[in-house]
Amino acid sequence: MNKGTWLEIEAGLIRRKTPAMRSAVESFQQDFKARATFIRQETVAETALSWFPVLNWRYVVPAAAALLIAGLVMWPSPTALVTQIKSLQVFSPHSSVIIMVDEKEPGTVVWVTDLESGDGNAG
Amino acid sequence: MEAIVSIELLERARKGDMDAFLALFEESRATIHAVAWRLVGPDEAEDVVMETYLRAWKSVPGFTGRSSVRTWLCRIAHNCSVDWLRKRRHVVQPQDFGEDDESGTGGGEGGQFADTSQRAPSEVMAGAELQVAIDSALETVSPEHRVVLLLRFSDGLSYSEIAEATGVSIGTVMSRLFNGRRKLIKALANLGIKTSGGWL
Repeated sequence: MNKGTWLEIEAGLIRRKTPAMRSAVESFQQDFKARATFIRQETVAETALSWFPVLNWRYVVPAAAALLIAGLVMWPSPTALVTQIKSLQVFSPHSSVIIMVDEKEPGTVVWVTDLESGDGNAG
Repeated sequence: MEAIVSIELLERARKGDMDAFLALFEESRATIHAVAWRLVGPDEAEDVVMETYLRAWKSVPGFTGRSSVRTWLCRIAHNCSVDWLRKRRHVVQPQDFGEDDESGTGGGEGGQFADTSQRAPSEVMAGAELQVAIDSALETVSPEHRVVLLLRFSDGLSYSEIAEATGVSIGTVMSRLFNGRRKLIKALANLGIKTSGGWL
Protein backbone atom coordinates (compact mmCIF):
# COMPACT_ATOMS: atom_id res chain seq x y z
CA MET A 1 0.00 0.00 0.00
CA ASN A 2 1.40 3.34 -0.94
CA LYS A 3 0.49 6.90 -0.08
CA GLY A 4 -1.79 7.04 -3.02
CA THR A 5 -4.29 5.10 -1.00
CA TRP A 6 -4.89 7.92 1.44
CA LEU A 7 -5.05 10.37 -1.44
CA GLU A 8 -7.84 8.29 -2.92
CA ILE A 9 -9.64 8.20 0.40
CA GLU A 10 -9.15 11.94 0.74
CA ALA A 11 -10.62 12.42 -2.69
CA GLY A 12 -13.61 10.43 -1.51
CA LEU A 13 -13.89 12.64 1.56
CA ILE A 14 -13.69 15.79 -0.55
CA ARG A 15 -16.70 14.52 -2.47
CA ARG A 16 -18.59 14.67 0.82
CA LYS A 17 -18.01 18.39 0.99
CA THR A 18 -20.92 20.33 2.40
CA PRO A 19 -23.08 21.59 -0.47
CA ALA A 20 -23.46 25.30 -1.04
CA MET A 21 -26.15 27.18 0.82
CA ARG A 22 -29.53 27.07 -0.83
CA SER A 23 -30.10 30.77 -0.36
CA ALA A 24 -28.27 32.99 -2.79
CA VAL A 25 -25.82 35.63 -1.61
CA GLU A 26 -28.21 38.48 -2.35
CA SER A 27 -31.18 36.99 -0.54
CA PHE A 28 -29.01 36.05 2.45
CA GLN A 29 -27.67 39.57 2.66
CA GLN A 30 -31.10 41.13 2.32
CA ASP A 31 -32.46 38.86 5.02
CA PHE A 32 -29.50 39.66 7.23
CA LYS A 33 -29.93 43.41 6.81
CA ALA A 34 -33.63 43.19 7.56
CA ARG A 35 -32.94 41.38 10.82
CA ALA A 36 -29.78 43.20 11.83
CA THR A 37 -31.60 46.52 11.68
CA PHE A 38 -33.36 45.57 14.89
CA ILE A 39 -30.20 44.53 16.68
CA ARG A 40 -28.27 47.07 18.67
CA GLN A 41 -24.57 46.53 18.39
CA GLU A 42 -22.76 46.11 21.68
CA THR A 43 -20.35 48.78 22.75
CA VAL A 44 -16.78 47.74 23.38
CA ALA A 45 -17.37 48.06 27.13
CA GLU A 46 -20.39 45.76 26.98
CA THR A 47 -18.44 43.23 25.02
CA ALA A 48 -15.60 43.33 27.52
CA LEU A 49 -18.14 42.78 30.28
CA SER A 50 -19.68 39.83 28.54
CA TRP A 51 -16.30 38.11 28.52
CA PHE A 52 -16.35 38.26 32.33
CA PRO A 53 -18.94 35.59 33.12
CA VAL A 54 -19.03 36.41 36.83
CA LEU A 55 -20.49 39.81 36.00
CA ASN A 56 -23.09 38.37 33.71
CA TRP A 57 -26.58 39.37 34.87
CA ARG A 58 -27.53 35.73 35.11
CA TYR A 59 -25.10 35.44 37.97
CA VAL A 60 -25.34 38.93 39.42
CA VAL A 61 -29.10 39.00 39.97
CA PRO A 62 -29.38 35.71 41.92
CA ALA A 63 -26.24 36.56 43.88
CA ALA A 64 -27.61 39.98 44.82
CA ALA A 65 -30.95 38.45 45.82
CA ALA A 66 -29.22 35.85 47.96
CA LEU A 67 -27.14 38.52 49.68
CA LEU A 68 -30.21 40.62 50.33
CA ILE A 69 -32.12 37.73 51.89
CA ALA A 70 -29.13 36.69 53.96
CA GLY A 71 -28.71 40.28 55.13
CA LEU A 72 -32.33 40.57 56.16
CA VAL A 73 -32.23 37.31 58.04
CA MET A 74 -28.96 37.94 59.80
CA TRP A 75 -29.31 41.67 60.43
CA PRO A 76 -29.90 42.27 64.15
CA SER A 77 -33.32 43.68 65.05
CA PRO A 78 -33.56 47.24 66.50
CA THR A 79 -34.43 45.74 69.86
CA ALA A 80 -31.37 43.62 69.82
CA LEU A 81 -29.32 46.69 69.07
CA VAL A 82 -30.76 48.70 71.99
CA THR A 83 -31.46 46.32 74.83
CA GLN A 84 -30.80 42.76 75.45
CA ILE A 85 -31.56 41.11 78.77
CA LYS A 86 -29.39 38.10 79.11
CA SER A 87 -30.31 37.15 82.66
CA LEU A 88 -32.47 38.47 85.45
CA GLN A 89 -32.56 37.59 89.08
CA VAL A 90 -35.09 38.90 91.62
CA PHE A 91 -33.99 38.21 95.14
CA SER A 92 -37.10 39.35 96.99
CA PRO A 93 -40.20 37.19 96.99
CA HIS A 94 -42.54 37.97 94.04
CA SER A 95 -45.25 36.30 91.99
CA SER A 96 -44.15 36.89 88.37
CA VAL A 97 -41.79 38.82 86.09
CA ILE A 98 -43.01 40.41 82.89
CA ILE A 99 -40.56 41.73 80.30
CA MET A 100 -42.04 44.12 77.74
CA VAL A 101 -40.10 45.11 74.65
CA ASP A 102 -41.09 48.24 72.76
CA GLU A 103 -39.85 47.83 69.19
CA LYS A 104 -41.18 51.16 67.89
CA GLU A 105 -39.37 53.24 70.42
CA PRO A 106 -36.58 50.99 71.45
CA GLY A 107 -36.89 50.21 75.12
CA THR A 108 -37.52 47.41 77.56
CA VAL A 109 -39.73 47.41 80.63
CA VAL A 110 -39.27 44.85 83.36
CA TRP A 111 -42.38 44.38 85.49
CA VAL A 112 -42.14 42.38 88.68
CA THR A 113 -45.49 41.69 90.33
CA ASP A 114 -46.16 41.25 93.99
CA LEU A 115 -42.65 42.08 94.93
CA GLU A 116 -42.24 42.09 98.68
CA SER A 117 -40.03 44.84 99.92
CA GLY A 118 -38.18 44.69 103.17
CA ASP A 119 -40.79 46.79 105.00
CA GLY A 120 -43.65 44.58 103.80
CA ASN A 121 -44.96 46.79 100.99
CA ALA A 122 -45.58 45.29 97.58
CA GLY A 123 -43.58 46.82 94.67
CA MET B 1 -2.99 45.62 0.93
CA GLU B 2 -5.66 43.03 1.62
CA ALA B 3 -5.02 43.30 5.35
CA ILE B 4 -5.45 47.07 5.19
CA VAL B 5 -8.75 46.65 3.39
CA SER B 6 -9.87 44.12 6.01
CA ILE B 7 -8.95 46.44 8.86
CA GLU B 8 -10.80 49.28 7.21
CA LEU B 9 -13.85 47.07 6.65
CA LEU B 10 -13.68 45.89 10.24
CA GLU B 11 -13.55 49.47 11.52
CA ARG B 12 -16.55 50.38 9.42
CA ALA B 13 -18.43 47.26 10.55
CA ARG B 14 -17.75 48.19 14.17
CA LYS B 15 -19.36 51.54 13.53
CA GLY B 16 -22.52 49.97 12.16
CA ASP B 17 -21.80 49.69 8.44
CA MET B 18 -23.66 46.54 7.37
CA ASP B 19 -22.22 46.50 3.87
CA ALA B 20 -18.69 46.53 5.27
CA PHE B 21 -19.63 43.76 7.68
CA LEU B 22 -21.07 41.61 4.90
CA ALA B 23 -18.12 42.28 2.61
CA LEU B 24 -15.73 41.24 5.33
CA PHE B 25 -17.66 38.18 6.45
CA GLU B 26 -19.00 36.91 3.14
CA GLU B 27 -15.94 34.81 2.38
CA SER B 28 -16.48 32.87 5.61
CA ARG B 29 -20.09 32.02 4.91
CA ALA B 30 -19.39 28.67 3.25
CA THR B 31 -17.18 27.62 6.15
CA ILE B 32 -19.80 28.60 8.71
CA HIS B 33 -22.42 26.76 6.70
CA ALA B 34 -20.22 23.67 6.73
CA VAL B 35 -19.84 23.88 10.51
CA ALA B 36 -23.58 24.32 11.00
CA TRP B 37 -24.33 21.52 8.55
CA ARG B 38 -22.06 19.12 10.41
CA LEU B 39 -23.36 20.11 13.84
CA VAL B 40 -27.12 20.59 13.45
CA GLY B 41 -27.90 19.02 10.10
CA PRO B 42 -28.92 20.20 6.66
CA ASP B 43 -32.43 21.35 7.51
CA GLU B 44 -31.41 23.90 10.09
CA ALA B 45 -27.91 24.77 8.95
CA GLU B 46 -28.95 27.92 7.11
CA ASP B 47 -30.86 29.21 10.13
CA VAL B 48 -27.77 28.65 12.29
CA VAL B 49 -25.65 30.52 9.75
CA MET B 50 -28.01 33.49 9.94
CA GLU B 51 -28.02 33.36 13.73
CA THR B 52 -24.23 33.23 13.72
CA TYR B 53 -24.02 36.31 11.53
CA LEU B 54 -26.52 38.22 13.65
CA ARG B 55 -24.59 37.42 16.82
CA ALA B 56 -21.38 38.41 15.11
CA TRP B 57 -22.95 41.66 14.01
CA LYS B 58 -24.00 42.39 17.57
CA SER B 59 -20.60 41.77 19.06
CA VAL B 60 -18.29 42.85 16.25
CA PRO B 61 -17.39 46.11 18.05
CA GLY B 62 -15.61 43.98 20.63
CA PHE B 63 -13.83 41.78 18.10
CA THR B 64 -10.17 42.59 18.56
CA GLY B 65 -8.82 40.67 15.59
CA ARG B 66 -6.55 38.52 17.74
CA SER B 67 -7.94 35.51 15.91
CA SER B 68 -9.00 35.42 12.30
CA VAL B 69 -12.52 36.36 11.34
CA ARG B 70 -13.24 32.80 10.28
CA THR B 71 -11.96 31.32 13.54
CA TRP B 72 -14.03 33.83 15.51
CA LEU B 73 -17.11 32.99 13.47
CA CYS B 74 -16.50 29.27 13.96
CA ARG B 75 -16.66 29.79 17.71
CA ILE B 76 -19.92 31.72 17.41
CA ALA B 77 -21.31 29.07 15.05
CA HIS B 78 -20.43 26.40 17.60
CA ASN B 79 -22.28 28.31 20.35
CA CYS B 80 -25.27 28.89 18.08
CA SER B 81 -25.36 25.22 17.12
CA VAL B 82 -25.22 24.10 20.75
CA ASP B 83 -28.03 26.51 21.65
CA TRP B 84 -30.01 25.29 18.66
CA LEU B 85 -29.61 21.68 19.68
CA ARG B 86 -30.57 22.49 23.26
CA LYS B 87 -33.70 24.22 22.03
CA ARG B 88 -34.54 21.16 20.02
CA ARG B 89 -33.78 19.04 23.09
CA HIS B 90 -31.29 17.02 21.17
CA VAL B 91 -28.27 15.49 22.73
CA VAL B 92 -25.53 18.11 22.49
CA GLN B 93 -23.05 16.17 20.52
CA PRO B 94 -21.45 16.72 17.18
CA GLN B 95 -23.50 14.99 14.55
CA ASP B 96 -22.62 14.09 11.05
CA PHE B 97 -25.11 14.73 8.35
CA GLY B 98 -23.66 13.56 5.11
CA GLU B 99 -25.02 14.09 1.68
CA ASP B 100 -26.61 10.69 1.57
CA ASP B 101 -30.14 12.00 1.36
CA GLU B 102 -29.35 14.27 -1.53
CA SER B 103 -26.81 12.39 -3.55
CA GLY B 104 -28.11 8.95 -2.89
CA THR B 105 -24.59 7.59 -2.84
CA GLY B 106 -24.26 7.04 0.88
CA GLY B 107 -25.26 4.30 3.23
CA GLY B 108 -23.81 1.48 1.22
CA GLU B 109 -24.29 -1.98 2.56
CA GLY B 110 -21.18 -3.26 4.19
CA GLY B 111 -22.12 -6.79 3.23
CA GLN B 112 -21.57 -6.24 -0.45
CA PHE B 113 -17.84 -6.05 0.21
CA ALA B 114 -17.68 -9.14 2.33
CA ASP B 115 -16.39 -11.36 -0.44
CA THR B 116 -13.99 -8.88 -1.91
CA SER B 117 -10.40 -10.00 -1.67
CA GLN B 118 -7.78 -7.70 -0.23
CA ARG B 119 -7.00 -5.27 -3.02
CA ALA B 120 -5.71 -1.75 -3.37
CA PRO B 121 -8.39 0.84 -4.15
CA SER B 122 -6.71 1.94 -7.35
CA GLU B 123 -6.68 -1.64 -8.58
CA VAL B 124 -10.22 -2.60 -7.94
CA MET B 125 -12.43 0.13 -6.70
CA ALA B 126 -13.86 2.37 -9.32
CA GLY B 127 -14.56 5.87 -8.07
CA ALA B 128 -18.22 5.34 -7.26
CA GLU B 129 -17.61 2.03 -5.58
CA LEU B 130 -14.84 3.46 -3.43
CA GLN B 131 -17.09 6.35 -2.55
CA VAL B 132 -19.76 3.99 -1.30
CA ALA B 133 -17.13 2.19 0.75
CA ILE B 134 -15.87 5.44 2.27
CA ASP B 135 -19.39 6.56 3.09
CA SER B 136 -20.12 3.22 4.65
CA ALA B 137 -16.86 3.23 6.61
CA LEU B 138 -17.54 6.72 7.89
CA GLU B 139 -20.79 5.50 9.40
CA THR B 140 -18.83 3.20 11.67
CA VAL B 141 -16.62 6.00 13.01
CA SER B 142 -17.83 7.78 16.14
CA PRO B 143 -19.59 11.14 15.59
CA GLU B 144 -16.79 13.06 17.34
CA HIS B 145 -14.16 11.60 15.05
CA ARG B 146 -16.35 11.76 11.96
CA VAL B 147 -17.20 15.44 12.30
CA VAL B 148 -13.52 16.33 12.71
CA LEU B 149 -12.54 14.20 9.72
CA LEU B 150 -15.21 15.78 7.54
CA LEU B 151 -14.51 19.35 8.62
CA ARG B 152 -10.83 18.80 7.89
CA PHE B 153 -10.78 16.71 4.74
CA SER B 154 -14.15 17.50 3.18
CA ASP B 155 -14.61 21.14 4.11
CA GLY B 156 -10.97 22.16 4.44
CA LEU B 157 -11.07 23.86 7.82
CA SER B 158 -7.83 24.56 9.68
CA TYR B 159 -7.06 22.95 13.04
CA SER B 160 -7.86 26.12 14.95
CA GLU B 161 -11.14 26.56 13.07
CA ILE B 162 -12.14 22.97 13.83
CA ALA B 163 -11.18 23.47 17.46
CA GLU B 164 -13.48 26.49 17.74
CA ALA B 165 -16.22 24.85 15.72
CA THR B 166 -16.30 21.74 17.90
CA GLY B 167 -15.45 23.40 21.21
CA VAL B 168 -12.32 21.41 21.93
CA SER B 169 -8.61 22.19 22.03
CA ILE B 170 -6.34 21.99 19.02
CA GLY B 171 -4.59 19.05 20.66
CA THR B 172 -7.87 17.19 20.85
CA VAL B 173 -8.55 18.00 17.20
CA MET B 174 -5.19 16.54 16.22
CA SER B 175 -5.79 13.48 18.33
CA ARG B 176 -9.25 12.97 16.86
CA LEU B 177 -7.91 13.37 13.37
CA PHE B 178 -5.24 10.79 13.99
CA ASN B 179 -7.58 8.29 15.62
CA GLY B 180 -10.40 9.04 13.21
CA ARG B 181 -8.18 8.35 10.25
CA ARG B 182 -7.00 5.13 11.85
CA LYS B 183 -10.57 4.03 12.50
CA LEU B 184 -11.62 4.94 8.99
CA ILE B 185 -8.82 2.87 7.53
CA LYS B 186 -9.70 -0.01 9.81
CA ALA B 187 -13.33 0.22 8.75
CA LEU B 188 -12.28 0.23 5.11
CA ALA B 189 -10.14 -2.81 5.78
CA ASN B 190 -13.21 -4.52 7.21
CA LEU B 191 -14.90 -3.74 3.92
CA GLY B 192 -12.12 -5.50 2.09
CA ILE B 193 -9.92 -2.57 1.14
CA LYS B 194 -6.34 -3.43 1.89
CA THR B 195 -4.36 -0.92 3.89
CA SER B 196 -0.85 -1.26 5.16
CA GLY B 197 -1.22 1.46 7.79
CA GLY B 198 2.46 2.12 7.59
CA TRP B 199 2.00 5.55 6.10
CA LEU B 200 -0.33 6.75 8.80
